[in-house]
Parts: sequence; C-alpha cells; structure tokens
Amino acid sequence: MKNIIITTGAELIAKAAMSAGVNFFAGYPITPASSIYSAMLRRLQAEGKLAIGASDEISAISMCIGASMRGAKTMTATSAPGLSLMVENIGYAFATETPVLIVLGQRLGPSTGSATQSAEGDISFVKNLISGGFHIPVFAISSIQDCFSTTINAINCSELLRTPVILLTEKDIAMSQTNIDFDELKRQETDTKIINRKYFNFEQASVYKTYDFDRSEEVPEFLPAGFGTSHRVVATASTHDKAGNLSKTSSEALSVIQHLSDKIEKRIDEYNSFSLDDTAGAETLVISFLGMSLIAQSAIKQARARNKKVKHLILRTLFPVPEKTITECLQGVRRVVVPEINLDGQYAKILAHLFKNQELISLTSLAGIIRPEKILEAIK
Amino acid sequence: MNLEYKYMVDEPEYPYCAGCGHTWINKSLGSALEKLNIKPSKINLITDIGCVGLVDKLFLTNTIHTTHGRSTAVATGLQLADQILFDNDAIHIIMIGDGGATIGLLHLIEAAKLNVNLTVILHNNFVYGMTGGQNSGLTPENFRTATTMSGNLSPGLHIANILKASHAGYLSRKLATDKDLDLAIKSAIEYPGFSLIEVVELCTGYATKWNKMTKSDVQEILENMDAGELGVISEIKRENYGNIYNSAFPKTAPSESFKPINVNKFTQLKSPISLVLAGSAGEGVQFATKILSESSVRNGLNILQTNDNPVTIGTGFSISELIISSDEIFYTGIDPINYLLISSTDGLKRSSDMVSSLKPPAKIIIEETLINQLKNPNNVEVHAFPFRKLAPDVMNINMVMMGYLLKLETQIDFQDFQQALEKNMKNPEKAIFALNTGFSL
Repeated sequence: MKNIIITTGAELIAKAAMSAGVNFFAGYPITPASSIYSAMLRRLQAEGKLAIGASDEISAISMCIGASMRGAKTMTATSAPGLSLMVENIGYAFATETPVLIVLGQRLGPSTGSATQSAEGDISFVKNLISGGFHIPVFAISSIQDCFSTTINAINCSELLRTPVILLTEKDIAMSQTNIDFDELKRQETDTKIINRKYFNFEQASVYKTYDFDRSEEVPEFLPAGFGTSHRVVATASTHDKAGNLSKTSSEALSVIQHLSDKIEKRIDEYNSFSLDDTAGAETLVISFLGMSLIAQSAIKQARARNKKVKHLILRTLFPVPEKTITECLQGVRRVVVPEINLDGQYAKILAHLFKNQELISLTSLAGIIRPEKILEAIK
Repeated sequence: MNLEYKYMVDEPEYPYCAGCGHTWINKSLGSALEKLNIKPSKINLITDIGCVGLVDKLFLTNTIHTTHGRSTAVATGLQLADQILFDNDAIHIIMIGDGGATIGLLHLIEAAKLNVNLTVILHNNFVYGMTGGQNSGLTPENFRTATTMSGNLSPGLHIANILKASHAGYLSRKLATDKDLDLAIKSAIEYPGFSLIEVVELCTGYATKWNKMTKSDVQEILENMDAGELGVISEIKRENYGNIYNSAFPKTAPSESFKPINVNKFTQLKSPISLVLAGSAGEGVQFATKILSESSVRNGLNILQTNDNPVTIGTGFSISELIISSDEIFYTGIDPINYLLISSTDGLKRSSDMVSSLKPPAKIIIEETLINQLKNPNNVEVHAFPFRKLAPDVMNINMVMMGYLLKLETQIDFQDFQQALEKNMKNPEKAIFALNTGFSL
C-alpha cells in the first residue's frame, strides 16, 4: 500500500515553510503567488500563528522585517510587479541582516504582463535587487516534487546567514497538481535539518553589539528587539559600525559592508543545492533549473537511449552563481546547453564567461515550454 | 527623582538646529519614559528617515532605524509578532516626520485600521528639513517652502481626520513647546491600541526663514486647516488587533492538512493518456478533471494537471490539461493529445489551435451544438452528443462528458471514478447521474 497526495506546488511550498518553522506571513494577492498566500494563511491561522493580508507589497515585506527582528521566521510571496514594490525593503533587510523569505511566482512580463502565463523571465531582475552591487541568495524550484526541500533550503539559508533570500518558482509549478508519495514526504520532513539563526547568549555575555563578528563571513548573533534583556538592539541600514552606530567611512563600518558580501559569497557551499546526473566521457553538459529541469531530464533520457553521452546539472541555487560547481562539470565537455523560458537566455548570458573551451547553446522560449526534441537536437 | 532605569544617554548632544522642535520632543519623550518606568530593552523605538531619524543615538532603548515612511509598517510586524507569537508586551514608539507620514500614509492608515498597539509621534514642521525644506503632503496652503516659494498651491493633509476615518483609537495634537508634552506623550503610549500624537513644531533651518511663525501665526495656520484643537482629539474604546487575532485564531498544535489517498491497486497503462477538457468557467471543468486525476491516482498512476483560465475566474474559458501515466511524468506539454473534450463555445474558441494540430488516433468529444463551428483539418474521429441537454444542470455538463470519456477510455476504472466523486462531494447524486448518463451513451 502507498499513501499518495495530490498537491499543487504552492501547497507543498506552504507545507515546507511550516516544517521549517515559519510562523509569520504577510502577503498581498497577485497571480500566481496568491496560491501560496492562501495556503500559508490557512495553515498559520489554524495553528494560531500570524498571517496577515497587508495593504500593499511594501507593507507586506516591511511587516515581515519587523516580525523577523522580533525573532519570527517570516515569509511573503509575490510576482514581479509586487517584487518591484518590495525592492527598497529587501535592500533594508539585507543591510540590517534580517532573515526573510520572498517567494517569487514568475509570470510573463514585462510589467503587468500576462498574469496567468508561466515564464522564467525574472532571473536577471533578482540578480541585482540590492543597490551597491550586492547579491542575495536566489534559489530555484526545479519541479513540484522539489518544492519541499528547496523551500526549506532557502529558509535555512536565510536564517543561517541572516539575509533575505529569493525563492524562484513559476506559475506552472505553483499552480499545477501532481501526485506525491506522502510517506516519502514525511520521511523527508523528519530527515531535513532545520536551521535557526544563532541567538546571543544574553545571560552570559556582558556586551551586545547588533552587528558583531570576528571573521568577515561570520554572522552576528541575534537578539530579539523588545524581548527585555539587559542588552539593547540597535538596528539600522545606514552605514554603521558593529554596534549599529552610524559611521560613514570608518574602517570598521567598511568592514561591516564587506562582511555583508562575504558571508553570502564565501559560504555558498553551505547552501548551494544542485544535482548532477553524470556520464563518463560526456561531451555535452545540459544545465537546467526551474520548470525546464524536468523537461531536460526527459530529453536526456531520450538522448541516452540514442547512445549520446550527455550529463545533466540541475541548479537549485542560482545566485551567487555556483561557479565552482559548474566549472567542475566542464572536464571534457565541448558543448553546454542551457534551456530557459525567457526572451534571450538570461542565465546563459550570466554563465557565458565560464565556458572558455565550450560552445554555449542557449535555448529560449519567450512563453511556453521548450520541447524536449529541441534540447535533444542541441545535444547532437 | 531616583530613577530605576536610564532612557537617554548622559548629557545628550541634540543634533538639531537651535530652536528646532525635535529637541523638545526628544526631551519630552525621555521624560515620558521616565514616568512610565518600563525596562528600556522592552521599548522599541522605531525611527523614520529625516532629521527625526537622528534620535537613535540619544536613547538607550532598542532603536530601529527604517527606510522612509516604512517605520509604521516595520513596527506593525514587530508589535504583532511580539504580542501574538511571543506573548510579550513590549512598547513600540514610532518617530516620524511629516515627510514620512506623507510617503508612508498607507502604513499609518493600516496600523490605525487594525488598531495595532503602537504609538506614533508625528513631528510636524510642515517641511522636509533634512533635504532642504521642500513641501510635504502636510504643508499648509500658502506656506512657503523651498519648492513652493510663492506659497503652497494646495491645502495640507489633515492627518487626524484621515486617521479618525480610519478608526484610529487615540489621536491628540500638541505644540512642541507645550510644557505638558511629556504627559501627552505618556498618555498616548498608555493607550492600549493605535495612538498618534501630532506635535506641531518649527523647522528653524528652513520654515521660519520663509514664513511668519510666532505662536499666534502657527495657531492661525492650524485653525485655517481646521486643526486648531490641541490636546486629545479623539479616544475610542477598541480591542487591539493582537487581542482580536488571539481570540480568533487560538494556538493549537500543528496538524497535517494533507489527506493522503491509500493506493492498493497498481494499473499499468499501455501508453500515457493525455487529455484536454475545454469549456466555460462555472461549469465544473477543473473539478471534473480533478476527479479524473484522483481516480487515476487511486489506480496507482501518476498525474499532472494544469489549469488555465482568464484572470477573472468566474467568466470566459476554463481549460484543464491532464497527463496520466504509469511512468514518471516529465512535463513536456500536453502534445500529443489523445482526447480533446469541448463542452462550450468558450472552450472551442480557446482550443482551436489544439484542434488543428490534432492527429489520428486522437479523438474529439464535443457538445453536439458546436459541431458546425468545429474545424477538423486532420479528420480526427469526432464524437458529438447533446451533452448540455443531457446534463441535470450546467455544473454537470462536463461530468456527462467525463462519463462518455470513461466509456471510450477503458484503462480508467469507472467505479474508481465514481468513488472519487463520492469522496469529494457532500451531495453527489446529480453528478453521479450525469456521469452514468455519459457512460451509457
């Protein structure tokens, strides 16, 4: 006997968020993220945790940040028009080292675009959300089945590094339904490690500095604002020293800025998620992510049935770009195929500099999936 | 006075121009906190952008300096989490200027509407002081600012009236120079919901250079805006949002919301089945497909269902695509389609591209009255019946079609479908009638 559930990606994302300990969601309706909003509202309210419909996306992200400063594990979900409104305070969360998960349900842009048409065109948008040239971690869900583990990985990363993170998905995954092995899901739930931010030991330590660290990639210990210890929290996004005091260009303040970048860039191995389906002597590497991953798998199955030697790398961490993971796959590879559902191959362009000795084949479709035959053709 | 706690740094250096009202407000807040005698680390001082945001270094409470105008929204999240998730009673005080109140007006309205337990100290000096004395939304009519040098052309927003209409619990107005400002701030903090105290003050860096601003001038400006009333303007009894939420959604232990289907039967399909049901919103298209998904899963099969509809879900087309397979489904789109079911004109219009790409042995199952409009370039097999006429009601048109599909597609067990239907409906009689009607055609 098997226990099976039929679920949408949105429901699985919500399930994962609850398992990861999310206890605060603020949202504003927008297709296709509304499905996640509804699922979170229902689940959180059922347990007396906090879910709130905000007046706009600016409110939603700001409320998440405030709640996170109090120690809540927070989340919001939107699509590109809503993300546009959130950008200011995603930067604020980044600079104040405040964890928050932003799920981005992609749909066809630009601007209001087509609300119910799936797409993967926001990759270059989320790459550069932070002014000053900083990057936050961006995760990508590769299938409905993958919603659970990648959502937890994204939340774990945001807690581990005290940073906002983006979790990319798309309408066809958030709103499509499939069967999932429920026993396997329960096993995953039991086995998955949940990471919580490191709290400041206020009973033992005498001095608290909101943004303290020794090594640059270290993450400051957290103290909830308003908890009522004998220590105080000084939070600010303005250039500050380790204690949170404003300081324009002191060496300590500059080291805090450097640290904001280092903790994310240098610790990628702790949250980088990918799967490699390797083949000895493969001359072609297919790199896929988001909803194209499954389709690419299908193409690779067919290619191998025709005795083609091809390997497949599915990326679930898109930013910072996992350069080491990718270059390690390039041994002996002469051709790299990157299929993605957007105008001009956004991610392929970002990766291009890594392929010094390989031909890059960027497959694109503005809207609608790229068929496996097209990938098969590119594999040659 | 022997104080238990210290709220401000020793000998604070106020970073403001001589005569600026901010200094008075800072001192009065310090004095109000002393009177309240609450542990400083249980006080969250949330400060906005502008000169008002320079106070962080003066206070020994927690200080959270935010982006422009967003202080109220950040404080809302902070306060609600504190009260609802952590059962704590920290004090939340927002320091915001008239500029912040302009750009962040919606957050003020939202906090007032919800009655979030926080206190807003609105420093209203009618201008953006930090950036050169430009006009804000609160700048009075005819007031001279860096950007309205010949006088402001429109009247200023009446914040108290706006928030009163937003159900604010507590509203008061004071002058920064009022001797009892500390007591007024204390009263606002003590109100157990949303409170806002508007403190009218002078920007001596800009506003007083361009406008006559003696005490009587200021009073005249306020009276012209119908804002001359000082002291408590409005105080109503309302439960705060945290308390309301806690009663509405009591804490309960987590429970599993997925209801798994026990699968005992494992059917092997000869090849995957892919179908599209194209009809109209409100006629049960997605529901009928969902039941087919569920009955397939009961047979140990894999499914992938994708629905499409216009943004307004109650009108126009409604399309469900379903792939059923014994093997893992790598979503590759619905092509090739085995069955295309068309139950309405909306569905026919929307699926016309699909129709022209259909190739035998695909089958079209179509409502009889649409047959004249059907273009079938590749001459695939067409099964037309008066499904609409046969259905007991519009909600069940697609269920009749589903019954007919099960007659053609014997790999899906009719009994399993009927069981799935019964499990999903409180009163399944009509649907079962519709299903059997289609099946017996």
